Amino acid sequence: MTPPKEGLYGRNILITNVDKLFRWARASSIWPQTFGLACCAIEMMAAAASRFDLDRFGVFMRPSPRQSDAMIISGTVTLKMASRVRRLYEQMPDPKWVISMGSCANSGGPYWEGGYHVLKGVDLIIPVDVYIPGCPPRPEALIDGILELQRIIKETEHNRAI
Amino acid sequence: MSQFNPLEAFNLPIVYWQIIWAGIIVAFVTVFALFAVYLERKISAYAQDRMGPMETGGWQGWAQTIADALKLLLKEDIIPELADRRLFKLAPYIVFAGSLGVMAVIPFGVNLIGTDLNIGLYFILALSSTVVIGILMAGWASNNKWALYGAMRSAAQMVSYEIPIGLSLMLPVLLTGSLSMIDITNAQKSGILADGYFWNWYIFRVPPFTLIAFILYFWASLAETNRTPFDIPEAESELVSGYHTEYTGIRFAMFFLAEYANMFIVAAIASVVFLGGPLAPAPWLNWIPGPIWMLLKSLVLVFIQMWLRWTLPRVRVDQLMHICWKIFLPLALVNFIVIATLVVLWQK
Amino acid sequence: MAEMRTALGMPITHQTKTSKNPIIQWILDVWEGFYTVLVGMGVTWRHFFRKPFTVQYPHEKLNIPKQARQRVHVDIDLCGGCLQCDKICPAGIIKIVTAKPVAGEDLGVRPNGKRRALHIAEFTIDHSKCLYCGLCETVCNDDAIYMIPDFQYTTRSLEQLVVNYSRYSPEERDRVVAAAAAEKAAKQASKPAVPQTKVSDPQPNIPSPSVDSDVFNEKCPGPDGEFK
Ligand code: SF4
Ligand code: SF4
Ligand code: SF4
Repeated sequence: MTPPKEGLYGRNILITNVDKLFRWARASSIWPQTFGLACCAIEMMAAAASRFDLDRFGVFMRPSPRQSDAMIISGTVTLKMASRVRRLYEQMPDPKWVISMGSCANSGGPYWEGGYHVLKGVDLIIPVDVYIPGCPPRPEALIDGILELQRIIKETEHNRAI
Repeated sequence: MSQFNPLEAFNLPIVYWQIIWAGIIVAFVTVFALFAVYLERKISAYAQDRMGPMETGGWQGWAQTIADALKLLLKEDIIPELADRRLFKLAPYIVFAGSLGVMAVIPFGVNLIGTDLNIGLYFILALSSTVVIGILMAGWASNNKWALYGAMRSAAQMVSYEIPIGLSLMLPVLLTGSLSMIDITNAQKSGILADGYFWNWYIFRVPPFTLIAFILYFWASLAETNRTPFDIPEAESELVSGYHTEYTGIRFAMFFLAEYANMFIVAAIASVVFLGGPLAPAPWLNWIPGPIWMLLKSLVLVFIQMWLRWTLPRVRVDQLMHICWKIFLPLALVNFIVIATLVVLWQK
Repeated sequence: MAEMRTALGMPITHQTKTSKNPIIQWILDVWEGFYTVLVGMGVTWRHFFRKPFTVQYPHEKLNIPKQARQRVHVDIDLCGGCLQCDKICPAGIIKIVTAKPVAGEDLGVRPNGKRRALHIAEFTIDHSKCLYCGLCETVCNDDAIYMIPDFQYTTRSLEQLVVNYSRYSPEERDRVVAAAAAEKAAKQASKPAVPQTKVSDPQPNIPSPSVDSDVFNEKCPGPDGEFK
């Protein structure tokens, strides 16, 4: 019996089940960077504190970009900070995700027209997976964003990098 | 049950037994580390009026650390371009092997031990110092200033705290007259009062002095394992995350594992040397096997370590050295001299 | 410690003992360190058994205060098309296109009893840029634009955050705008051309403020504190 050449590494029972397990593991343990940029970071801290407790979803802030999976862009990305944001993103190991939190990170927010010093949306420099609107978004909105990111990770059939 | 001798029971050559025991120890340490991380997250959560992991795997988030470990295995493995590649790869193994090797001489039952070295306690002290080499290696090889700072702090702290640890562990050795862990365990069976009760354990043997030695050992072992209040090598508010700043994925997981394995090991040493290890607290509790007592005592000590971690703030570097050289060392020395004198007088 | 508590007006619960003899002082210090750690552990112990404050968000929800500003919503039936919100919006993210009805077309009345005078051909808000300042809500005379306590609108792309609240499809919008423009052009053509007699007022010749270039070219003080 010759093994089927086509689809050997595609969707077969073994690979899809293992892939499902891996996706579950990745979605259940999103470690973001301890990294805040402006006022939205205050809401991020509130989301991690006792009242909303991000730890319930396995979200556990890591100080080093080398050990984190996700980046929460929480606040105004000034042009000066943009290069650092980009570098921090590049220092993270694959697979990695980005959550853009608040109007400033989404599209420049209040500064989208006249801000001479603000990046008009963080998606100009790094790929963003989830946009959370709000100025600032409530902690519940951030939790919603994280649940949405979990859904994205669980839905992605082929992972970006293994 | 406590007289069960696996060598005689299965008639195995000693080498086979040691290989099997090594496998059991590695599996046990891995499972224990996963459990301890989960426990720590829950304890920290309840200390802060939070709930901790709740969603992953259903009931109380029991699968949280399994998911974490699986995810860390699957992460990209980054080695910085300017790092010293060979040392960078070697460091986690040295740290992990240093902590794991100590498990060889820790008795889980009166006869359940990897190998009963006649220099058991000395072996423990010697091997746990090699962890410093691994940490220094990691800090140096990363070519990162934060990692190097963390490693230097860690080295200074571990080398200083070895001395009070050594001096407090010498007390039971003086009282037993042997360095073997099995001899130390057996010597706690009988004493001046009725045999087989908890008052024969070394912590209660010479009332104030051995108790002080136990407390000194326990506190100094917190510094030895880089835990709060002595976690300045990993202080994330000053050094990004200390000596493992540049480590990703599975290599970082090994450091993490080694930290929690170390917690268990210092707790196990404390319970063998001061709390009677696998001995039951009273003769009518002898039907519960030794390994269960041993695990129970160690887990209580691990719980106290976590409890302390979520109570105390981090000390400064100078305070750390102050505590070691000006408080722990004099206390340990006075303890040692008093017990040594008592032992000499007793033997006369 | 005791001095600090007195300065802060806090009661002194624990008095530190002092001694002249340095050895006894050392022993007292060590005891105090040990004792205070035990006190701290007692506090943590009490917290272990407190009920957690956590609200498990997707399963339980907090009550959001009524005045909370979470999301702009437009009740398009009420809107009269006065463009006040567009003018006040500090971010400039409200885009309203209105068109006059053609002659003989009646748009009916709005739910608040006022007559509808304009087609609201387009009413787009780009939520990704909103400041949630609530100014639009303040200026609206018809209470047509207001904040609702909804924050669950996380998206995967920014386009989804640009919402058109108008009831008109793009084709309809183009149709009504074109119709209004055509009618306006027809009216203009039928009217006799009025000659432009109005002459703009002559502007008084105000001299522009002379800029003293020295003031602006002043150098920063150097490291030794002197102007270079
Ligand atoms: S979106 Fe609003 S709250 Fe968030 S950083 Fe920008 S201005 Fe601050
Ligand atoms: S809340 Fe403020 S920024 Fe948002 S649409 Fe209204 S006026 Fe504009
Ligand atoms: S201010 Fe109110 S009525 Fe006027 S255009 Fe805006 S929403 Fe419509």
